[in-house]
Amino acid sequence: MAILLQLIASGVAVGMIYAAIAFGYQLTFATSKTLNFGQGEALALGALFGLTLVPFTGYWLMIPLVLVFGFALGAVVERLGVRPAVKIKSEYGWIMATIALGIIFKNVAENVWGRDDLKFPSPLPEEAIQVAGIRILPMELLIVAGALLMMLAVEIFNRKSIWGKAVVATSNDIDAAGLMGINTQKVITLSYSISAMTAAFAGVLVAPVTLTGATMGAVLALKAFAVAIIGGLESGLGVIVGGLILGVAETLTGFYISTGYKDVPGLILLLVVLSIRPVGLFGKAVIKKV
Amino acid sequence: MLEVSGLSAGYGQIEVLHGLDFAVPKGQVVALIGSNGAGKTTTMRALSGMIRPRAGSIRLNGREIGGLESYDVARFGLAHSPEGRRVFPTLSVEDNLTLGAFPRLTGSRPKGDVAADRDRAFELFPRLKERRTQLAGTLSGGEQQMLAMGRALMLRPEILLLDEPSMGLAPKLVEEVFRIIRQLKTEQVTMLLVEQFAMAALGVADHAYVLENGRIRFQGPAQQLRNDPAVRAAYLGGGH
Amino acid sequence: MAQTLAPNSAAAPAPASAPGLSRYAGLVGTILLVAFLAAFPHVVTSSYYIHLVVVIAIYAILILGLDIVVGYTGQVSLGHAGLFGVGAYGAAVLFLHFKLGLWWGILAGIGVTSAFGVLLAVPALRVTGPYLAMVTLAFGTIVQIFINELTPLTNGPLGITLPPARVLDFSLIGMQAPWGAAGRKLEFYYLTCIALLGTILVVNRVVRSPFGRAFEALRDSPIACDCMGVSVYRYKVYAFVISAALAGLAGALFAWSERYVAPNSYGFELTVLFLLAVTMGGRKSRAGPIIGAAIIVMMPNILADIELVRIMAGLIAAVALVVGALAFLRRQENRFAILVPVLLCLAFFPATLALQSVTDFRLTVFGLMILFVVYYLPDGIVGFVREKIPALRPAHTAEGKSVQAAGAALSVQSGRGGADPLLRVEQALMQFGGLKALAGVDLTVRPGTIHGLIGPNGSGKSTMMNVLTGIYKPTAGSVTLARADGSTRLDGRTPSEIAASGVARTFQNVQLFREMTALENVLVGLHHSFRGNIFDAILGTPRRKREEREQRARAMSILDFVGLGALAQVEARNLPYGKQRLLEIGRALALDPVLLLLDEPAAGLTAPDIAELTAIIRKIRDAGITVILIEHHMDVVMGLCDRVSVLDFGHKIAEGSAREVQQDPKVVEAYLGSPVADEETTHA
Repeated sequence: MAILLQLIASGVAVGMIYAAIAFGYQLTFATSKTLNFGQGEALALGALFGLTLVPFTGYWLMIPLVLVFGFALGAVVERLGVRPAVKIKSEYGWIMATIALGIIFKNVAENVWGRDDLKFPSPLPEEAIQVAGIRILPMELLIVAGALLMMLAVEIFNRKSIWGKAVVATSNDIDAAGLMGINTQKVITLSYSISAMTAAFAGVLVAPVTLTGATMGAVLALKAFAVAIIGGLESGLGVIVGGLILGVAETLTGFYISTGYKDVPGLILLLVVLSIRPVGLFGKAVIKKV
Repeated sequence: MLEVSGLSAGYGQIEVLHGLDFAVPKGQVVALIGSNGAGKTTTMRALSGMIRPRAGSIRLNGREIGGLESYDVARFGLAHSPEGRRVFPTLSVEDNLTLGAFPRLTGSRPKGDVAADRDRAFELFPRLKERRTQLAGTLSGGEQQMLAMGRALMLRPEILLLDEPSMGLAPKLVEEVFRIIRQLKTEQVTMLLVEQFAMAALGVADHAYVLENGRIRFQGPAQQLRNDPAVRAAYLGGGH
Repeated sequence: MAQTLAPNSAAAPAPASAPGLSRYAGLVGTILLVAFLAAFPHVVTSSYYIHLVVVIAIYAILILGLDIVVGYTGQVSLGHAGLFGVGAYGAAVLFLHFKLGLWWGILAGIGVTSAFGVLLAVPALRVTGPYLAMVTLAFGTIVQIFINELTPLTNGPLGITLPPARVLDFSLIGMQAPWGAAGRKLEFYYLTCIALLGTILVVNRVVRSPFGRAFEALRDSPIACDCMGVSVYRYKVYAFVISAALAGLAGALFAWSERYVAPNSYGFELTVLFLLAVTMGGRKSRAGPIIGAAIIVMMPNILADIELVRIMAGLIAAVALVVGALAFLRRQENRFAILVPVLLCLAFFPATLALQSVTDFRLTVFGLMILFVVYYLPDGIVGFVREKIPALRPAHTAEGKSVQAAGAALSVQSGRGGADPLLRVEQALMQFGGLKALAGVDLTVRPGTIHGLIGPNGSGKSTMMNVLTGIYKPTAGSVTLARADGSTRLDGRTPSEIAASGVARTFQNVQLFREMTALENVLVGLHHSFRGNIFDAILGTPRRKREEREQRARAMSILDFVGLGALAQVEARNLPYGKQRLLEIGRALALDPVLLLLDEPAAGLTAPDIAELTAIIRKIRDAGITVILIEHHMDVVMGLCDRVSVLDFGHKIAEGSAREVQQDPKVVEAYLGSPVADEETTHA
C-alpha cells in the first residue's frame, strides 16, 4: 500500500508535465486547428537555454528569460511553419513543416550543446522529504506547483485581458472574431507563442529531475498528445486529469513491469483512444454537415 | 455613406454575385431582399471582408474598403451581425459585448466610453442584462440574436450590417427584433438589412433592392415595393 | 539515374489508343531503368556503389508503398519506419532462432508487416490528418521500444548479425553456380532489382485498378465515396495492408543487405526521410519514389564531402539569385515574399565556407529540404517536370485520348422502377439536441416523376436528403423503397448499402473526386459492377482486362449522355463549374439508380448551364429514373417538377403541382413573411 501511494505520488509530478505540454497543444489547436509537431523540441530548447543561463542568473531569474525565449520560438514556428501552409490550405504542409522545424531545432541543439545528456543543477535540496511515509522530492512539488501556476496564469490571461478574450473568441469562431476587428492572424501567432512558452517552461521544470539534452522532449511531447486527446483537444482542464492518469500509469508500469516499458502505456492509450473515441473522453461528438 | 459598384464575388469557382450596384445613404435603412441563393449573404460577406470581392469597389465614407481583411474593415467602422448570429458560446454575455468594442479597446478606433455603451446595450436589450454573466452558448436563439446585434453596436459603427436577423426565430421574437431595428432607425443608425422575410424588411426599410441570381432585379422605395407583385415573383418564380 | 522514368510502365493495362509521347514515356523509362540496373555492376565494380544502389532500390520499394498511403489515399503516415523495422526484424529473428534464410525472411517480413498494416489501419478508419500522424508516430515508437525490450526474441539493443545472404542454393541440386564466385556476389543485387521492378509492376496495376480509384476517391471525398457504394473503411484497410506489405519486403531485404539489424535504425528520423522522399520525388508516380529514394540515400554521402557541398551551395546561391531576381522583377504583388527563400539560399553558401564539416548538420539540411519542398515544390520533382513538359503527363490524363462508348448509358432493370409509390417516408423525425430539423414528415414519391422539395433556409430539405441517403440516421420514422423483390427499409442503413439498393445522389457543394479525370469519376460510380479481386488486379488477368474495357466503354457512354464525352480525360478540378455539376450527375447515374436525388443542382450556374441541366434532368426522367429535386431556383422547380412538397421549420406545409404550391398562401407566407403580423407592429 505504501509502495502504491509512493508510486502515485511520483506519477503526479510527471503527469503535470504532460498536462502542461498538452495544454500548449490545446491553445494552438483551438485557435487555428493546427499544432506544433516540434513541441518536444521547444521543450528541450527551453531546458538547454535555461541550463546555459543558470550559471549567470541562478534558477529563479532564469525562468522569465526562458519564458521570453519560448514566446519568441513559438512565433517563429507559426510564421515559418504554419502560416504559409495554412494559406495554401495544406494540412500535410503544416504537419511536415513543423516536423521539419523540430528536426532543425534538435539538430542545432545537438551541435550547440552536444549529443550527450547534461545534468541540470537542482534549485532545491535533492533530499526527499517524508510526508505520511511517502518520500517526495522538493523538486516534484515545484513541478506540480509550477505547472499549475502556468496554466492558471494563462487561464487568467484568457479570461481577464482583452487579448486573452480575443484568443477565446478566435477559438470559438474565427470568422466572427474577424468581424469584431480582431486580427485573428496575430491571435494565432500569440497562441503559438504561449504554447511554446508553456513547453519551454515545462522543460526547465522537468530538467532537474531528468537529464537534459536535445532529444529529451520528443517522447514527452508524443505522450502529451495522448493526454491532450484524452482531455479533449478543443479546450478544458481535462488535460490535468489525463496527465495524472498517464503519469501514474507510467510509474506503475515502470515499477511492476520494467522501466523500459514505461513509455508504452501512454502510446497505447493514444492508439486506443483514437481508434475508439477520437473526440477524447471529455469531448463531444459533432455531427458532420454535408 | 456606403457605395457599392460593380461588385462581383463568389466561392471557389462559383461566382455568386455578378456586378452589383447599390448605395446606403447616411441615416437610412436599406433592405436587400430576395429568395434563397439569390446572393444576399454573399453580398454581406463581401462587404465585411469575410470573402474577397473579385471585382468592383466598396467605398465607406469615400474610402475604398474592398479587398481588406475583415478585421481591417471593422476598424473603418463597419459592423456586421452575421447570419446565424455567431456569438462566442464559451464567453459571457458581457465579454461578447466587450469584444464588439475590440478595435476601440486596442486603439484602432476612438475609445469613448465602452462601459457606458455596454450599459446602453443592456437598456436596449433588457433580457441580456439579466443574463450578463451567463455564457452566450446557453442563451436562447432570440437572446443570441439580440446579443449579436448588441455586440455589433459596441463598435459604434458608421454602418451596421444585419444579416437575416429573423432567421430561425419564433414569430413573437421576429417582432421583437424588428421593434429594435425600428428603434435603432429612430436613432439614425445607418443600416443595411438582409432579410428572407421580405414583407417584414420592407416594413422597416426606407429603400430596397431585390436580388435574383446574383443580380439586382429591381429597386425602389420600400413602401412602393410592398405591394409590387414582382417581389412575390422573385421569390416564387413565374412572374416574368 | 531514373529521372526519365515516367509513371506508367508498359506493363500497365494498355489503353485503347494513346497517341503521343506520354504512352511511350513509361515504356522508355522502364527500359532505361532495366538497362541501368543490369549494366551498373559491370560498369561500376566498386562494391560500395553497388551496395548504394541496393539500398536505394530497397528504400524505393518502401517509398512506392508509402506513396499508396500518402499520395493515393492522402493520409499521413509516420509509422513506416516502424513497419520497415518490423519487416527487418521479422527476417532477422527467423534466422536468429530458426536459422531460416533470406527467402523465409522475405515471406515472414511481408506476412508480419501486413498484419501490422491491418492494425495500423484501425485508427486510420477513425481519424485523419494530424491525429493519424500522431497515432502512426506512436505506433513507430512502440515498435522501437518493443524491439529494444523484448531481448529474448530480438536480442535487444545489441541487434542481430546475419551471415551473407544465400540467394540461390545450388548445392541443393549438387552443382556449382554457373556464373562463378564473382557472379554470386551480385545475386543479391539482382534479387533487389527484380523486387523493385516487381514492386513497380504491382503498384502500377493496383493504382490503375478499381482499387486505386477507390483509394483516390476516398482521399478526395470520403462522403461521396460512401454514397457511390465504395466502402471507405474497406479500401483504407487495403491501402494500408498493401503499403505495409511492401515495407515488410523492403525491411527483410534491408536486414539481409546490411546483415545487421539494430533497434535504433528504424526511428523517427527515418520515417521523416521517407516522407521527404515521397514528397520531393513526386507523389502518385513511380519515378518520384525512386528519385526520392536516391536523394535521401545519396545526400549523406554528398554532405560528407565538404568541397562538393561548397560547390553545390555556390551553385544553389547563384541559381537562387538569378531566379529570385527574375521573379522579383516579373511579379507585382507579394514580391518581398520571394526574398526569404532567396536570402536563405544565399546564406547557405558562406555557412558552408565557415564550417569544417556539414555532416553534423545533416538533419538541418534535411529539415530545410522539407520546408523547401512543402512550400516551393509541393508536387515534387516529377510533378514539376510534368507541369513543364506536358508530354510526360500520365497517359490517362492526356487530352485527346478517346474511349469508344458502348452499352446503354442508363440501364434501369425492368420491374425495379414499377412499384407505386417508389419511395415512402413516414413520420421522419430528425432531432439534433433540442432542435427538430425534421418534425415528422411524410413523403411519397411516385415512380417516373420529378418530385420537387423546396422551402426556405433551414426548413429541413438538406436534412431530408441526408436521412434518405443514410448520412443521418433518423431519430424516428421509416423510409421504404419499393423494389421488384418487395420493399426495402432504408432507414438505419449505411450510405454504401443505400447506394447499392439503387438510390444515388449529388451534393449541394460539389463533391467530385477532384484529382481524378471525368472518366475515372464515373468509373468510381461503376464500382458496383466490378467483380474481380485484388489478385486479379495485381496479376492483370484477362478477366480484369475485359472488365476494365467494358467499364470504360460504359462510363464513356454515360459521359456522352451528360454531354461530357469530349472532356473525359480532364481532371474534375479543371472542369468549369457547370460541367462539374453535370459530371456529378453522370457519376450518380453510373450507380444504375432507380431513384436519383439532386441537391441544388442549379446553384451557381449560369443561364445556358441551367438550360442544359434541365434538359438532362428531363432525359433522365424519360429514361424511367425517378428524381427528387431540391432547388432554390424557382423557375427550374416550376418548369421541371411533376409534384412539389414544401417544407418549413421541419414540417411539410404544402404539396401539389407546381402551380398549386405557388399559389398556396401558406407557402407565400413561409417565403415572404406574414404581412399581417407586420402591419400590426407597424401601427403599434
